[in-house]
Amino acid sequence: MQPMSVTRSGADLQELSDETLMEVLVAGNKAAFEILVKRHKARLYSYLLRLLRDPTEAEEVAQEAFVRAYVHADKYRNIAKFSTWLYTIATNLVRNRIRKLRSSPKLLSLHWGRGEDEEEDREPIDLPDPGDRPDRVLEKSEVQALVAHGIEQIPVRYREAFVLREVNHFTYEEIAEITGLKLGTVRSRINRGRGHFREAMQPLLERMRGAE
Amino acid sequence: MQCGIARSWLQSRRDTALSASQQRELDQHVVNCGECAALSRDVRLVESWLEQAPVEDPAANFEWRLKLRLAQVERDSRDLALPARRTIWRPWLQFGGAAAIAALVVVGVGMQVLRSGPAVAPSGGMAFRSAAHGGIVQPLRDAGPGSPSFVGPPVPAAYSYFISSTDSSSSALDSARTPNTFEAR
Repeated sequence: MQPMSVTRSGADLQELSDETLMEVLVAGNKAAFEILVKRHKARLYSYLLRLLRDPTEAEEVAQEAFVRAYVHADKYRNIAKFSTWLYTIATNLVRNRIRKLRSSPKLLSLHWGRGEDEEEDREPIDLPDPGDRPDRVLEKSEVQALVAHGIEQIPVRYREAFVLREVNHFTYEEIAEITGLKLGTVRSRINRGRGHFREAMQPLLERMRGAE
Repeated sequence: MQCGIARSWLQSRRDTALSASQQRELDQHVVNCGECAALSRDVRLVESWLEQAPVEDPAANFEWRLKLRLAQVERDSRDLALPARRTIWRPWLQFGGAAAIAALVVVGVGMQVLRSGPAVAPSGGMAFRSAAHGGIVQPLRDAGPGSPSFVGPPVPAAYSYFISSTDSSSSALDSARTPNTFEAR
């Protein structure tokens, strides 16, 4: 196998897969990493934002995940997808951060507002007032806001696997690798997450039923 | 078909594709069961909403800040590589520096001694005769009453000095103290 060239142009690099870009990076071409960042930063940040619910924290963890991926690029082995590897790093960082927050009750109350496992405190989504047109179709932005809120209502232990599956579209096996959970546990948590999400979206579901 | 099986198939449809015959069986059940029909609709709606789940962008300067961090990481890793060289280098520096300073002192004091006359032997303490001996000072035997008898090796002129507890008129140097100086009272 020929060694990766370090002199590939930006246009060439865009065509490469994530895994090949990592090889190019290890060979010395830093531009390859810039492309990886561009490709993954938004979805990674969104995933972290859904877990941490704080934009500053989510950005900080996303940055740290990319730094670690860069520093340890030579340790990346092409036996798993780059995204799986990156999200594994990020998920571990999130868990460390949540653990740190939970050990500090003051920070926890400021940050989370309520216990993450208290299902009784789940707040269903608030539908926008339809005004004079009860059959008004919601705008896409409104639906997106409701979906984001619905995801927030899922307890964090289920939210992680739920988001990885339903939003980031990882396979069950990849989620098991990212989270370190057994496959059966992953399935169970995703199903529980789906149940919670449907419950949170009930107002919108009922409105849709009423509109029929 | 039982509702329990239908509900299970409806909820796992995203994960496991049904065979053609299973799909037909499910469709037939849904047509005839109001509850499962409602669940089927809800599942489809929820799936379509999740497809629209927003992807948030981080701040506009995210990549720029990341570049700064990576540059810092690279600088830190270069600095971490230096200590191995520093720990080898510093003792040599210290030794070399001390040697250079000592050499300067020797030259400087030697020049001073060459310009000055022979040392005056006081009544006590140890005296050193210098200069006339080519810069080498010979400790005097029995320099005076109460002084210890000492005959030591020739002392380089740079280290010559007189220490006396009584005589304050000595012109000998008493400021240069090095590991090779002799003290006696």
